[in-house]
Amino acid sequence: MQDQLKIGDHTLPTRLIVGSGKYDTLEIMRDSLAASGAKVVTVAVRREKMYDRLGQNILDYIDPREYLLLPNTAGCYNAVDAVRVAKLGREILRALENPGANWVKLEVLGDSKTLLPDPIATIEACKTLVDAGFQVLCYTSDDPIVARRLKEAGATSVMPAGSPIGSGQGILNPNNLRIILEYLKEGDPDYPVIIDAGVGTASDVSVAFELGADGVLLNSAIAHARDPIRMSIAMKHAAIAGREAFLAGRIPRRLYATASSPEEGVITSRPYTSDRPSK
Amino acid sequence: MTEPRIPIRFNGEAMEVPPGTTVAELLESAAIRTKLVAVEVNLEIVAHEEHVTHQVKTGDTIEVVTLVGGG
Repeated sequence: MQDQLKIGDHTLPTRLIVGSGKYDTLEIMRDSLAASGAKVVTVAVRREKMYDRLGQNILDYIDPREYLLLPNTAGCYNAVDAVRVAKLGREILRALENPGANWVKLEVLGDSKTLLPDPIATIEACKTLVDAGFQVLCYTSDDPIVARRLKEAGATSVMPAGSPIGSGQGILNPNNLRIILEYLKEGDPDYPVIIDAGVGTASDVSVAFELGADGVLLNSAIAHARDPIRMSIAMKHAAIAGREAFLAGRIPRRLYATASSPEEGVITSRPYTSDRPSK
Repeated sequence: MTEPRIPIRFNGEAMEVPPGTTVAELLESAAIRTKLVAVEVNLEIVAHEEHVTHQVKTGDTIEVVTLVGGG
């Protein structure tokens, strides 16, 4: 059976969600998205540039029939703005007949230096958007209590950061993520928890999945890699590797070694008495 | 004799348009592909279905947004 990720109404064949920002060219973006194997692509809502000479739009490079778009509220620093931007994104996706019209990546930031989320405004905006019929995927810090509050506020998915947005520091506090996973999945094992932000390289993605995350959302680690298309391929495989390892179940960490070859029938001696096979 | 014009704000820019200008006409005059945008007049979304009938009024603030790359 295929290992699908269910987020609200949406069932996804792959667990990597990729952003579409910060690419040098829209052509590189298009090819990177394809190479990543992702089906969900995040987009931002911004003022239309009037009388643009080139007349290029990102949707000329992302086929809305092929990808499920996930509009974000990036750049919002209060709940009112975030709700406003979410509704505008929904209106665009509705006209495009993209099924992503019913969900949003909620991001309400505290300040522009850290880009850390404002937890209080995020919870407030989450409630408002849930009431307005949105399936809300909430970007948040790795604080387990805030994560729990967001789930209680009706978030379809809680998306804790591994480390600050665009920092490439990977997963700084795996223990907090373990607690978040334990709390949010208690009695609700399929509740989707997605690690959003901070990924620097492929191993960070694997670690997130090995911890038990249901998905990983990343942008800069691909867009700003020296070779974004190649990094997309790396991320795709890292996601598969981490997820499969999680499902397979890792062995416990032990202080001492355990030989892989049998002790029975050895024809050589051991240097210390305590080394002798017990049997 | 000059045609009457009404002042509006369109994506932050002050401009004047003929009375009775619809959202659809405004978008067309700015060479904007309507399907790729959402329109807000005085912070209220004007749904795509209403672009051809919704007329802008004196002092309206119109915002037209589209999708761009983002994470």
